Amino acid sequence: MAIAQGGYLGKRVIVGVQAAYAPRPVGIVEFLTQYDASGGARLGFIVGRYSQLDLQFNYSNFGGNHHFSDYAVKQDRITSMQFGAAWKQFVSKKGGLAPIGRFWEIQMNYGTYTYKVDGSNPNMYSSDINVLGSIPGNATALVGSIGYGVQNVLKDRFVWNVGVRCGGPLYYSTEGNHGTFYGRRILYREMINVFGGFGILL
Amino acid sequence: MRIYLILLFSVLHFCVFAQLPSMDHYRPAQSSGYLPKDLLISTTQRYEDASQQIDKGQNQQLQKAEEEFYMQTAYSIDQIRFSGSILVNDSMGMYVNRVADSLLAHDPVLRSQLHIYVLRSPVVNAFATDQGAIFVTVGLLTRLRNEAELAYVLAHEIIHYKRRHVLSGYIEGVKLKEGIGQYEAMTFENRFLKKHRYARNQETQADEEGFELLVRSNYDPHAAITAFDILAAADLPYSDTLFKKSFFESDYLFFPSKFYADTVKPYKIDDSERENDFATHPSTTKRKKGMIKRFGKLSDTTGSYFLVSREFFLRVRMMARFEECFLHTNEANYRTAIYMNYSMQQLYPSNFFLQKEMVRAMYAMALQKNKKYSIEDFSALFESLMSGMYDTDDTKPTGELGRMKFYINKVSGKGWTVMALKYAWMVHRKYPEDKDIEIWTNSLFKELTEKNELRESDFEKNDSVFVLLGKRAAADTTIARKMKGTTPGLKFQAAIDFLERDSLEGYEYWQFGLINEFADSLFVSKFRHAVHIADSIDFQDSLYWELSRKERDALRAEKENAISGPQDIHKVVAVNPIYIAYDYRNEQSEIDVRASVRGKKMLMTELVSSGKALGVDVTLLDPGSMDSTSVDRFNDLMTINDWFDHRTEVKGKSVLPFSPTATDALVSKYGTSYFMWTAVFSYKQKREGKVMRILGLSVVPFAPFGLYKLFTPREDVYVVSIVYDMKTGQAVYASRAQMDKQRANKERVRLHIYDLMNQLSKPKKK
Repeated sequence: MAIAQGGYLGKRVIVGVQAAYAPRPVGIVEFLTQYDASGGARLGFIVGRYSQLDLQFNYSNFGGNHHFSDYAVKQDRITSMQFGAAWKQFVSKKGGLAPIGRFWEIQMNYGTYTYKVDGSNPNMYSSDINVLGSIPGNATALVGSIGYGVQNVLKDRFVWNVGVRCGGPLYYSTEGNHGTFYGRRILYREMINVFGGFGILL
Repeated sequence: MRIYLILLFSVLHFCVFAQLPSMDHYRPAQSSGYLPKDLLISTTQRYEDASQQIDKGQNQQLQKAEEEFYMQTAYSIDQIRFSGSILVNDSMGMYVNRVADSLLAHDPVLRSQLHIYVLRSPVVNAFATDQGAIFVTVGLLTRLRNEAELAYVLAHEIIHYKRRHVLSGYIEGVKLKEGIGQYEAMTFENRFLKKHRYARNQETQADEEGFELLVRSNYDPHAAITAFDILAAADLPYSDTLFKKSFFESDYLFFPSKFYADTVKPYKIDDSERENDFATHPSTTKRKKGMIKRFGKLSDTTGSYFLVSREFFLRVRMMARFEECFLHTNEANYRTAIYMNYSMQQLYPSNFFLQKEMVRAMYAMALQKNKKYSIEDFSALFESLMSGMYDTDDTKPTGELGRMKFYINKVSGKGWTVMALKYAWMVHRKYPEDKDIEIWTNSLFKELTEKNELRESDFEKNDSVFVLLGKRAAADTTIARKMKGTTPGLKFQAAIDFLERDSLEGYEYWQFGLINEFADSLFVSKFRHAVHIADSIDFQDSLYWELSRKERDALRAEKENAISGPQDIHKVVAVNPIYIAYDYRNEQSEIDVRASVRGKKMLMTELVSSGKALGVDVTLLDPGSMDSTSVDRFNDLMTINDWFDHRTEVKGKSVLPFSPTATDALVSKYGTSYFMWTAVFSYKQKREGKVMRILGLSVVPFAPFGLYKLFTPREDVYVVSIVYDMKTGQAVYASRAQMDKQRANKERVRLHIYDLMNQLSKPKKK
C-alpha cells in the first residue's frame, strides 16, 4: 500500500525565482510612472493540503529624492538584502489546493538597508545645510506584508504565481537618527507591490 | 337463453385471456449477447467517420456548421449510450428489428445502415439520428395495437434518416442565424416562422414517404391512420381500467369514501386542426387527415397487421407494459406506477413481478409521503406540493389515473404506510424467500415506527371497537339509509363516512387496519423490533438536544468533516466519469465537444493512475472502457444508474426502493461496496465590462492583469466527487470545488483527482 502523499502528484518542493515591482506612492504622477524593482530566489514547501511555506531571499534597490537643502536635491538609492519566510494559505472555498489556486500570503522579512546618494561625492554639499542633518547610515528592519494572488502549475513541472502585496516595516533600527526617514522610505517601498514568481516542482 | 349468454361470455372471456402471453417469470429487461460495434465507437471516431460526408462544395460557413453538427451528434449519441437507457439484444429490441426487416425486405442496403434500439423510457417517443440509429421507447411499445402501427412509426423515422432531415434542419438553423440565402432579407420573426414551417414540412414528408414505404411492405395501410391516434393520446395512459378502492382495502382496512372520487372527467384529446406557427410538427389531426386522403387514393388497400408474428407482438407489448410499471417507479412517478401496476394486475392477479413491483412502488410512495421538510427546503417542499396538485384537481379528477392519484393524495402518511405494510406483509408471506420484499417490508415497519411514530398501543388488536362503531352507525337511521350493505365492514365504512368525530371516540380508520396482522406472531416480533430501534433513536435524539448549542455545532461540524476527510478506502468503482466543457462563446452550440472528449479521457486516466499511486484500486465502469463482450458490465452500468437515480430522489437514511439483492450482487462482483461518481464541468464565456477594463489599463501598475483579462475568456471550473457505500446507501465521501474565474487546465483537474484519492486512501482520524 502506497503511503498517502500530498503536494502536486506527490511533489512537494518548489525551487524558483521571484520578482516584484512597486510604484512609488509619493504622488499620483510618481505612482503611475515610477517604479522600483526587486528580485530574488525562493524555496517552497507544500506543507499541507492548503498551505505552502516559502523561504526567500530578495535583493531590492529603490530610490527617491534626497533633500540636502531647499535648493539642493539629489537622487538617492537604498539597496536592501532581505531574508524571510512566507506562508501561503490556499482558499479552499474557491477550490484552492496547494500548490494550485487562489491564496492569501503572509510574509515576514528581515532586511538590511544601505543608503547611497547617486552621483558624485555626497560630501560635496557638506557646506549646504543638509535637511536630514547627515547622510543616513545603514538600517535593519523587520518588514511584514500580506498578499493575495494565484498560483498554477504548467506541464506538471513548472509553477508560476502572480499577485498583489501590501506591507510595511514593523520594526527598524538605524545608525544615527534617521529612523523616521527610513521608516517612511521602507513603507513607500513595501506599501504596494505587484509580484510574480516562477519555479520548478521537485 | 340466460345459459347461452353465460356460456357466450365465458367463451369470450376465455378467448381474451387465452390471448394473454404468459408473464409468470417476467424479469426487468436487460441487454444480452454481444454489444454492437456502433455502440462502442468513440465520439471522435464517430465524428471522423461521419465527417467524410461533408459537402465540400458548399460555402465555408456551412461546411463548418456541418462539421459542428457531426461533432454534436456524436456527442449526443454518447450521452444516450452512457445513460444506461439503451437495451441491446433484448426481446423487445429483437422484435422491433424483425419488424424493420419486414418493412425493408425490398431494400437490404438501407436496412444494413440502420441500428434500432429500444430505450428504457415510459415516454411515448421514437427518434432517429443522422447516423442511422433509431430509438423506440418502451412507452411507445405499450400503446401499439398491432405490428403494422409499429412498422409505420419505424417507416416515418427511416425517412427522417434517409432524407437527412436532422442534418438539413440543423443547417437551416445556421442559415437562419447567420441570415444566409433566403433568410438574408427577412426579419428575425419571419426567419423563425419559416424555420418552423421547414420543420413541419419535414414531418409531412416523413409521414407521406413513410406511408409509401408501409404500403410497399405489405403491411396494412390503415395503420398509418390509426398510428396518429397513439400520437394524439401520447400523454394519456394506455389503459383506463376502472379504479376501485377495494383493491387497497381488506378485512379491517377501509378508507373514507371522500377519498374516492365518484365521478371523473373524461380524457380530452386535442383534435383541432389549428396549427401553432411555432410548432415543429403539424397538428396530429391534420396529419391523420393527410393519411386518410392518401389512403383514399390507393387502389389496393389490403395488407397484413402482422408480418412477423401476432403472438410475438402481444408478448412484446405485454413485456413493455410490465416494464413500464418498473420504469415509472425508477423515475419517481409512483402514483402512475401504482395505477399501471393495478391495471396489469386485473389481467394477471397473481403475478409475482407485478406484486413485487407494487410493494416497491407503495414503499416508495410511503417514503415520499412521510418525508419531513425543513423550513429551508423550499424547493423540495414546493415540488412535493406540485406533484400532489399537478396531476389532478381537487373536485373532479380526469380519467381513472386521475381518480387513483386523487385517492393517493387524500390518504395521509400514516394511512398509506399502514396500507403499504399490510400489502407488503401479504406478499412477503406469500414469497418469504424473496430478500428484496423482506427488506422493503422491514423498512415499512421502520417507517411506521420512526417516521409515523406509531406504537402497538396505536392499533386495535381485536375487532370489538370496529364492530361497535359499525353498530353505532347502523343504529342511526339517517346513516343506516346510506349504508351500502350490512356486513361489519360496510357498517364500519358508513361509520367513518358519516359519524361525527366524537362518536368515533378519536379513532382513525387506519387504526383497525392491522387487526389480522397483529395475530401473526412473526409480524408482532418484527413490529416490536422496529419499535425498539425507533425508541433508541429517539433516545439518542433527545440526548442530542440536551447538548449545548456549541456542542451540537461541533458535532455537526465533525460529521461534515468526516464526509470530506480521510476514509481508509482502497477499492472503488468509478462510474461513468463526466467531463463537460461548456463554451458559451460558441453560437452554434454550448458544449465544446472536443474539449469534453479530451477532458473525459484525461479524467479517466487520472482516476486510475492517481489511485494506483496512492494505493486505491479503481475499476472504471464506463462504456468507453468496454468491448463487444462487455454486456454484463453494460447491464451493471444500467443497474447502477437506476440505483443512483433512486439515491438522488430519496433523501435520508431509508432503504432505497431498489432491489437490495441487485445491489449485493454488484458489491460482490466488484469486490467493494464503494461506488464513486466524479464530474468536472468547465465554463468559458466572454468577460463582461470591456469598457471598464480598458479604462483600468490606465492604472499602470495593474495594467498586466487588465491586459490578460481583456484578451482571455472567463473560465469557471467545478469538480464534484461523491462516494457511496452501496450497502448502506449512504454517502461516505463528498467533495465539491467551485473555482470561479480560474482556468480549467489539466493540471488543476489532476490535482483535484489526486487529492480525492489521497483523502480516500488516508487512514481515518481517530
